[in-house]
Amino acid sequence: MIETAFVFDIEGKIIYWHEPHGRSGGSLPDSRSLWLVLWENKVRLGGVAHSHPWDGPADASHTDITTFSAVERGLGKNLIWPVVTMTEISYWLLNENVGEYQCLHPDWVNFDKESWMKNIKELRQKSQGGNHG
Amino acid sequence: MDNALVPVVDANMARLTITYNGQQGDLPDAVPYDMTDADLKQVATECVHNGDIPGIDADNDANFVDFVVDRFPARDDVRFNRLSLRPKTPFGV
Repeated sequence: MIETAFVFDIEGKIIYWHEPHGRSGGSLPDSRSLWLVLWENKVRLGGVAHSHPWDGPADASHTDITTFSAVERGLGKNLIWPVVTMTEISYWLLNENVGEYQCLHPDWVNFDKESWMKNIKELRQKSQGGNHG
Repeated sequence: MDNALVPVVDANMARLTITYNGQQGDLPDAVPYDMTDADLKQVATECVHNGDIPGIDADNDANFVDFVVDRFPARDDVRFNRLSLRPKTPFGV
């Protein structure tokens, strides 16, 4: 099992697969390359999905939340941050009224459901591989 | 980049590029290349608060918590040290 991520546009279409050197079953390292992808695509950017390659709740870690916040401050825009386990998906975004990241109900995610779930399936498949770091 | 148009930057100094709120700009003055990340963030915070970065609007709420510094030494085609302050991007535990 190995953490994996993809960057997607505002329609949920994949822009970039993030499978950096040094990733593990529990983390994806800091990456200037990922930042450059986000910056170069900031206008059409929808968010970044990443896997937690195990079964169970798709909670965001402290590292995840602080990355969400830093990237959004850098880009000057709010994104959707799906966290994907092998059994669940949660869609995190900033609730500006309370200043906290909260889960968005999946019904509010208006991507084409069929193609989006295909992306999620591929993310899970890529997360089942060995540690290539 | 045409280095002939770049102001001279001392060998121990660096140009600091800041990315914030969807904008990007360089600090007008060079900074020591070995300045700590914490000190660079403090400089960046004060400069953005004051609107001192061309290309970045003044923002009194600007903060660079969880930003990181990339360091690029001078090389043949870019003859000055560069520093880049950008958001961190790790995920996981």
